[in-house]
Amino acid sequence: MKLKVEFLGLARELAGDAEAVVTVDDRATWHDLISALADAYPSFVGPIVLPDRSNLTAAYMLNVGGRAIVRDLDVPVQPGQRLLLMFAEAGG
Amino acid sequence: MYAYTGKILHVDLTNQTTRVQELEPEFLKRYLGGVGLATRLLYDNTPAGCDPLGPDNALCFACSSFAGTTIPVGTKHGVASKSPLTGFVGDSLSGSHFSEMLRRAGWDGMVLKGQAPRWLYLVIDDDLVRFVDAQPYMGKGAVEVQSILREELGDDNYRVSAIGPAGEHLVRFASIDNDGRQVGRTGNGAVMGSKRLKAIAIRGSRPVTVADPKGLMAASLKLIKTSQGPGTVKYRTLGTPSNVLNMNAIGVLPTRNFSETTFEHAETISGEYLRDHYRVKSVSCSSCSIACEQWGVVRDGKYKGAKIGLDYEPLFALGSNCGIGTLPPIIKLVEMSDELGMDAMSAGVVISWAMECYERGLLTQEDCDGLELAFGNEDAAIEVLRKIAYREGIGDLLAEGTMRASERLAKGSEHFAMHVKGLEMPGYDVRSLKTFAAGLAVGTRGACHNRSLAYELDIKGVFDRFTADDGRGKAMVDNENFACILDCLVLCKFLRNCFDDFGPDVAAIYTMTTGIFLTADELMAVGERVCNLKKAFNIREGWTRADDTLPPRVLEDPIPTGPSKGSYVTREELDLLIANYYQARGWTADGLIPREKLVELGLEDIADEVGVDTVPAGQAI
Amino acid sequence: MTQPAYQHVICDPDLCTGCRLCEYVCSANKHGVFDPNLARIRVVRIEPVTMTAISCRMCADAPCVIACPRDALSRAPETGVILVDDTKCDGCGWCVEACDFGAIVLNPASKTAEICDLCADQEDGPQCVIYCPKEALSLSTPEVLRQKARRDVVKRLFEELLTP
Ligand code: SF4
Repeated sequence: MKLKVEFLGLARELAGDAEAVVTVDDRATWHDLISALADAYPSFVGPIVLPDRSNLTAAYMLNVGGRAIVRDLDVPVQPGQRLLLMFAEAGG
Repeated sequence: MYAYTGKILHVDLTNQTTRVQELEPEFLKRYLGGVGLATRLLYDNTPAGCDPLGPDNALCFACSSFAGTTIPVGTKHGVASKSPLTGFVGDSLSGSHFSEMLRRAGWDGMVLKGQAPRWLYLVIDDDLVRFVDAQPYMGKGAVEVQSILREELGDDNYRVSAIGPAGEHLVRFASIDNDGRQVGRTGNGAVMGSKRLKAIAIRGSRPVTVADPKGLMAASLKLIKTSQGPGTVKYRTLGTPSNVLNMNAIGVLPTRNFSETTFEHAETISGEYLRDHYRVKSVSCSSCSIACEQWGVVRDGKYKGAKIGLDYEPLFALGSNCGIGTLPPIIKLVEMSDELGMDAMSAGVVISWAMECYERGLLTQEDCDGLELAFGNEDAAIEVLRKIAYREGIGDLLAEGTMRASERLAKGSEHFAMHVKGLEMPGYDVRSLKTFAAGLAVGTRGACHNRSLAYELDIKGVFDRFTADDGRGKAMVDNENFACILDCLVLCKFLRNCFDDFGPDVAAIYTMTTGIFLTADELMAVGERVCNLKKAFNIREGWTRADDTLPPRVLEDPIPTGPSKGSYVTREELDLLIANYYQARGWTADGLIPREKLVELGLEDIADEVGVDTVPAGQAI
Repeated sequence: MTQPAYQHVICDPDLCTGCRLCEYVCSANKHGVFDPNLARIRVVRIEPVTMTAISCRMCADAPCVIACPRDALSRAPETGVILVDDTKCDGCGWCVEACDFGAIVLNPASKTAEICDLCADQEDGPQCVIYCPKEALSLSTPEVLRQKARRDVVKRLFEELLTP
C-alpha cells in the first residue's frame, strides 16, 4: 500500500519536502514504515530514526490523524489515515 | 561556600539607601537560586495585601547557582514580585548575561523596595551602588536604552536590565529586558516602573570561583556535547517556532482568540517558513550551548528592517491568535513589544480579546479610536500595541490586561477573556489537552506552560488528552516540581533531556559548583518546597479554591473544527483533575496546605501564618 | 622569505552564537576561576546578531612585540605564539594599546600581560576550540583561510550560474 507521511520540523528540512508517499507491504507494521522512511531518506538516520532503525529517536514521534501517537510499533498500519512525522518536544 | 556570595543587596528607592543581608549556606541550599530564592525573598519582604504597584511590593532578583560558569544554560536569573496582573506570586525568569554580572558584582540577589521621588537608574559596581537621574532616558526603548547606558557609562562590560515605555506607564504586563531577553510574564516591568526605576546597570569585577573547577569543567563538556544531540534537536534547528505546525497539526494552535485550533495560514507563520525566508542566525544566552533563539529579519516591503529573535509564544499570540497570517507584521509586532517593554504573550492575547469584542460589536470603531480592530488587521494591531504602551485611548483599557479589561467592559466579554487568575493563556488551546488544562488552572502564577509542563503529558501521549480521570495528579505534581527545580537552579528547560540521571547528576554539579553538599533527594525536595512556598504566598494574599479555574470558553465551547473537534473541558472533569492534583500535593480538598505539610517541607517558619490544621482522613473530629 | 604559517584560533561569525563559553573556559583553564576579564579570547557582540570571538592572531610582524619598551615579549619560533617574560613585564599596557584586536589581557592581580598561547599546557590543544558548542572556533593559518575564501567564492559563483 501507499502511505502519505507529512514531515514537520527537521524531517522537512532533511527530506527537502513537506510530505512523501512511501510504499510498504500491505501487512506492514509501523516498524516497517519507519524502516521504509529511513531507506527513502538516509539522512533521517541519526537525528530522527535510531541508527539501528528499531524506532524513532526520542526527539520525534509519529502522529495519526492529529489525535493519536504511535506507541506500539508492531501493530499493522491502517491505510487512509493522516500520518505526521513531527517533533515530540512541545516546549514553547 | 563557593560560587554563591552569600549576600543580598537591599535597595530602598524611597530613601536611596542600601543594606546587605547575609545568607547562610543552609538557607541557600533550600532555595538554590533563581525563582526559588527570589520567591523566598519576596515572601519575606512583602507585607500581605500590599498594592503590587505601591512602594511595599518587593521586586526581587536572584542569580542562578551556576551563574558565570561553564555549565550550559546555567546563567539565568529569577525575578519575583507580587504581580500587578494576578495579585499573586509573580515569578519570572530571563536568560542572557545579567545573572553573571550580578554574581560577579558580589550578589546572589537584590531586593528593591520603595518608590523613588523621581525617575532613577541604578549603577552597581561591585558593592558600590549609585542612584542616577534617569530623566534623559525616559521614553527610550527597553532594548535601546541598554546600549545608550553602556555608551554613557563608557564600558561594554555593564549588563543592563531596563524597562521601556510600557513599564513607565505601568502597563500591567510590562516586562524587564536584558540583552533582548525578557523577564516577561506577570508584569515585573510595571512593578519596576512603579518604583520609578528605569534601569539597573551592573558591572562586576570578581571572578566566580567554584569548589571543584576540574570536575565542573568535565561535567560541562559532557553537557555541552550531549546538548548537541537528539535531546535538543528541535531547539537547535528551528527553535520553538517549530511548534506552530506541530500544534496546528494536532489541533491545539490558538487561533482568533482561542476560538479555533487550526489556522489556515499556519504554514506561512511557521518555524519552517521563518527559517527558509527570514532567519539570519541562531543566538544564545550566556553559556548556552543550544542557541534556540532564531533571529529573523524582514528584508523588504512595509516592515523592512524589522528584526527579532522569534519564539513560539509571541508568534502564536500576535500571529494566529490575532488572525495574522504572514511573518513580517508578526516580526514587527514582537520587535515592538520588546522595545516598548511588554510581554508579547499577554499583549497578543489582550489584543485578540479586543478583536473578538470588535467583531461581536462589543467594542465599536469609535471605542477603538477609529481603528478597525478586526482579526487579521495588522495595521490596527500595530497601532493598538503602541497605544497600550502609552495608555492612549483604547490602549488604556487593554493595558490593564485581559481580566480587568473584560470585567470593565463586561457585556459577556468575560466568556472569552483568555486568562487564568489574570495571566493570559499560553499558546496551547487546552480544550483538548485536559491534563494541561488542569495544570494551568492550579498554576500559582496563573496560566503558565513553563511552570506546569503538563502539556508534555498530553502531547507526548502519556495520558489521553481528550479525557480526564483521577490517575493524573501525581504526574502533574511531578512535572510541576521538576519544572520548579530547573527554575530554582537555574537550568534552562531546554536542557532537560540531556542528563543520564537528572537527580544525582545535577546534585553533583551543584556540589562541585558551590561546595555545599546536596543529595539527589534534597535537590528533588526543593521543587516541592518552592511550589508550596508560592502557593503559601498566594494563600496569604487571599487565594481561594474558586481562583483555580479556567476561562468559560474552555469549559463551555467545544472546539469547532479540526483534529480536536468537539473537545472541551467540562466542569466535572476539571474538578476531578484538580481534586486529584490537590490530593497528590497533600493539600486539603479546598486546596489549602496543612500545617504538617509545611513543616515536613522545611517551611515551619511560615506554617503558622498560612498552614491549616487538619484532622487525618478517617478520624472523627 | 615566505610568511611563517603560524596557526591561530579563528572564529566563524556565522556559527558563533555569542554564548561566551570560550571566555569562561579560557579563564578556568588558565586561572582556575571563571572570569571573562582574564580570558585571552573575548566575544564581541554588537546587538543583536553580530558576534564573533577574538584572540591573538599571531601577526606576522607583531606590533605588540615592537611596542613593548621592556623587551618582555618575544615569539616562540615553532608555534608563533607571543611569549611574555613575567620578570620583564611590568604591566604598562603598551602592548595592549598596540594590538589592533584587543587580544591582550592585562591581569590586574599579577600586573602582567597575558596572551593566547594555544593552550601550550594542554595535550589536546586550545580548550576553547574543544568546548565551543557550535564548532565556530578552529585553528587556521592565513593561507588556509585564503584558500577557503577562494573556494567559497567560486562555489557561490557556480551556484548562481547553475540555477536558472
Ligand atoms: S564558545 Fe563558540 S559559539 Fe560560544 S561565543 Fe565562543 S566562539 Fe561563539
